Amino acid sequence: MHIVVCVKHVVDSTEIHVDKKTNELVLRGLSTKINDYDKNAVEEAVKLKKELGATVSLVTIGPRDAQKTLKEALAMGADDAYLLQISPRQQLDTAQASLILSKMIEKLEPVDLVLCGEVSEDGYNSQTGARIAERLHLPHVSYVTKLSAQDGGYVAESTLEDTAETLKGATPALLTISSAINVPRLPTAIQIMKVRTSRIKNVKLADLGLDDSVLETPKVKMLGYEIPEQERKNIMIDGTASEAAASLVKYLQEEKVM
Amino acid sequence: MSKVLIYAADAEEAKALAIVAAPIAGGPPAALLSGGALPEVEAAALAATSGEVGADVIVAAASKKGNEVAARAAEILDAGCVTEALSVAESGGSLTAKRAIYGGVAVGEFAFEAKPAVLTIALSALAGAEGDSAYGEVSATAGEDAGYDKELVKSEPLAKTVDLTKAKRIVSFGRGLAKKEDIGEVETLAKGLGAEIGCSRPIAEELKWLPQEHQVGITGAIVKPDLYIALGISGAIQHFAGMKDAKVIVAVNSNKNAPIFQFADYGIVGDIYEVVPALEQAIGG
Repeated sequence: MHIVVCVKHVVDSTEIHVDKKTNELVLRGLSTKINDYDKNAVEEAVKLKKELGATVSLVTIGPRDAQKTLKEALAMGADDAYLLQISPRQQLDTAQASLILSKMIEKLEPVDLVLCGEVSEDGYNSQTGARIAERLHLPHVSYVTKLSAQDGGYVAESTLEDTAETLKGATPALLTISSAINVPRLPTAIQIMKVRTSRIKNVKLADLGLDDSVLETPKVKMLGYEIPEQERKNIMIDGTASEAAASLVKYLQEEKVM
Repeated sequence: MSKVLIYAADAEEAKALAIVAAPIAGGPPAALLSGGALPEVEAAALAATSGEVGADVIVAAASKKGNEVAARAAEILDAGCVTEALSVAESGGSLTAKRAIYGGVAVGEFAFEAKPAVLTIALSALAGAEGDSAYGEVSATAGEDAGYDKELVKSEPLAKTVDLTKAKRIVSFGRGLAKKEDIGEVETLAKGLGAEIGCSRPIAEELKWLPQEHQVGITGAIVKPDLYIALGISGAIQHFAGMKDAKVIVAVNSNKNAPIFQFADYGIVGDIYEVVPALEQAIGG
């Protein structure tokens, strides 16, 4: 069985904040890492590798720094990794990313399962998995919270807003993996460091039969953003724990929320 | 203006979508109601119907099902897609949509470079849609049958013990709580306040101390209680997006630089293991 996991190298979303002086988002100089949700997908793939003797390949599009993300996923137990390198400033919309990732996956055929995280913590688009599935003419199951697979087929539980669905199907198929499914193993910094960069294979657009124009033609472009006004009182309460608690209760009674 | 095709789970959802899509719709939109089939089949039918009615914008609800059908349909139509849109507009032939970016810390404006365009509308925007709307229901044009080998074996309602979206008061905790056994402390406070228990993403998704229905944030519940008390939560934007509409926000955190204090009405810098018992006492006394 051959499993391909799509991973994304993202800025650490917990570090994004608004610069109070300029009222702009501070995005530069933030640390970058593997998208948390993709770790659940890698974990699930590595579990299947142990169970079924599967081979696990990773694909990503990102800056050179995305090697860090691939190394972490390799340290988790994936077998090989493919990086299509773009400039750190290059933005891709979901249509562009899905096209390129689909071509990368096609290159690795035969593929039995394609796994993606259910969402990326930077874009939160929840599109790429379903788009890749459509482009590759694969059935898909999203928001998978339970998975069992064997050669030729899978049973997956998909958790929606109010219902849990169980789906059964034949491979090849694409699954988007929910964070509820597992606790990803945590490779140590040394284990990650020990992964040789030479295990990461560089892929060029030309290798995929695409030319650079694919990077220049998004279907959706961000024009700008605004920071919603936050009208909060920002009252800091001092004193010992019991003094602070007493003042807080008074405030909350005045606010009539207690 | 655009020829809009609505894709909805039912008539009520179609009505709300028509209200949100009104600023871009040239005339009453056409509406296709979901046939309840697998998303692959629904997406193929949606794309085919869109061609049949000559739609240049497809609008669906940003439910989990809505998003997957919309994304597949967008790929079939070779179209751009914006999910979780808060509003849509069209001027000078340019179609734009606003959506939360980076977990809600900002609202981005996105322009479609071409049509057809596919949009899903945030459930919060649909819930707030008021007024009258009209649409003309159309029947589905069957899409190409890809003959996928996949079947729905079972579908059952989720057994949920809590619905935070309806809670009036929420006491929420994050990584500041040292161990799972200490949840009892938070529960005692919540009980005293008549509040439900919430938590941050790491508690539900990574540590799995509480089921996901307790999680507040962009991948959890979007809540708007009268009172939200955040205990030992740093205030990552992920979390902020889920609670920013609370009427009164209280933050308790030992780190005075925690971002949560920027979002709070009342802040206490301190150890939650001291402040929580003190609060219990203050409420009781």
